Amino acid sequence: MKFLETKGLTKAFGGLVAVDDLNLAVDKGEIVGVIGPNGAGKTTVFNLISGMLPCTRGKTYFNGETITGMSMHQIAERGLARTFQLPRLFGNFTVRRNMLMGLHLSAETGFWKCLFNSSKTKASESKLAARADEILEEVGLGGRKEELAYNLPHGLAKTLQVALSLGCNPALLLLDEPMTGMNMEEVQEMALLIRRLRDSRNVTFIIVEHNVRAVMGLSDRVAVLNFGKKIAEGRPSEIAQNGEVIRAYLGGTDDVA
Amino acid sequence: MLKLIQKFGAPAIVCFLFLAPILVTSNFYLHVMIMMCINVIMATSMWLLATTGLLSFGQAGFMFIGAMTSALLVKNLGWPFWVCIPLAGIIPALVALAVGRVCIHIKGAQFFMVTMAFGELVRGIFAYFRNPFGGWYGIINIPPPEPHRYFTPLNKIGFYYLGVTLMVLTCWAVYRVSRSRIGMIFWSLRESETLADSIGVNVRKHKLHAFLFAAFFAGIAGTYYAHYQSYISPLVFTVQMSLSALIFVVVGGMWSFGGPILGAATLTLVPEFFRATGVYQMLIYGVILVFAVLFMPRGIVGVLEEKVFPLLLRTRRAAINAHDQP
Repeated sequence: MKFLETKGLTKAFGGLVAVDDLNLAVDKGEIVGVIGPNGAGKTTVFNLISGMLPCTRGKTYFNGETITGMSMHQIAERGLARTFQLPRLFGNFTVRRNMLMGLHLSAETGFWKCLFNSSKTKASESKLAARADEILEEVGLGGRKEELAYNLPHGLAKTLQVALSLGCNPALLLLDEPMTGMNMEEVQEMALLIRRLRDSRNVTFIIVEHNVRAVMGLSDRVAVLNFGKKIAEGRPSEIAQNGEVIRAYLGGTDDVA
Repeated sequence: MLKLIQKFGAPAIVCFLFLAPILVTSNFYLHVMIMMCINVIMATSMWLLATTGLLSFGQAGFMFIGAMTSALLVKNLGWPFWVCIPLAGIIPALVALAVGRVCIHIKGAQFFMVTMAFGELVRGIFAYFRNPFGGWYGIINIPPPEPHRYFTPLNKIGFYYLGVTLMVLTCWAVYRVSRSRIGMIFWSLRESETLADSIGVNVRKHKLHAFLFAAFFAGIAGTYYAHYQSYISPLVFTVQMSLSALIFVVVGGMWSFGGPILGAATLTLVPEFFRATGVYQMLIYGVILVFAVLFMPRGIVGVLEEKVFPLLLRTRRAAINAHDQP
């Protein structure tokens, strides 16, 4: 059993089959890229794995456990975190407070303890404050701690999302289009960050991306989806030459008018 | 200057409230202050629930359950009032647990309507059973708290101090929770429930806790009302009362802890100034409300922060970003 495995994962919205019988397996410490044209079902796959949507058929196994049917927060507790395609943040919170929220799973949330602000709560919160600052420095948001999250530019909003998902000490991170809307320099930074996290914290990544060049350079393996089906999987060099993949992105000779 | 207000503002107000009866001896004004205490308790507890994004329109229902619990226990079973007052909070909280289990996952406007239905359901049940709930006639002759000689209709000072104490305790509890991590979790649920879920927040559990909290304090307000007025009936705890609580929160300002308190205090006291106008009192009240909705989108506190005290602008997001610094 691999670290994350989906068997026959299917999601149908009425007649529309968004994800069709997907079998994906990811090893610990891998960076797996998921690419495909728009509407291929990539984000839906993430929604299914992370528990946001119930699946029509199929099972997901993570770290030896069956996580199909679990709620999002239960899956997060087990070390699987995700980011969102359109940056979801706690907009009215400052960056620092966003990060403090991200560390929710390590926080003391006993009602009576919080009511009386016991010494245990104080100690826990100061530890979390230190960790929050640490993570923000690591991702490069150290200078913007007191800014309101909805004021952040797009690239930094995505970075903050990644920082938030690091708060629950994930063993597996699902990144949904982490590089969309970024310039070349920011893409480089994000790629370096992902590599660094994999090397230093041993985080496994599954990355959905449209920036094909970036994801090819970053990933150990790439899976390609089209119309909900996996049409190819393998090393980046193999995928780049795969005829079906090229046809999916660019169309074939019979598509030419 | 701001630091002084922040540090000594609340204790100063509390001291003033406790010493006020030296200046204010008129029973009428004591009555107004007592009603204000009840309204503040309703408004602050509802505010805490609103910080999670849930607007409950059934707080009067919980108030009624609390009032009924303690009225029946004290009047029919002869239990002492001081034993019944925590029960009057706990029983509505248990009912809220049952109701919440079923409907806490409902969103927005539908939750609003479900809680409204709940409030009416409570009224309906109590109205249907003449025995023991008194039916539409309600329960009369509810004994005041012991010792009886301090709590008479002619000398309201005892009730006043009890009310102020309950109000201060409620505000303290709401303040502490809102500034703790739990308060931060509540705000995060309002900001983005899905994001909170994805980082490990048990959304249902925390929403349920907020709902229980609001129901508990509504029950406390209800029992205080019952033993003060010595009469409760389904005609008292109506949708109108739930609406009042909502108005206090909205007009006072939802974004700040002081908002609901200010809203409740203002909207209890200001109509009294117009009592002399007789039949026009409610008309003027309505005009004030319309004015508030049109020109004060962030409530009274919003106006204070943006127009009256420019130096407070820095704390514009005070409640939502305020967290106990370790």
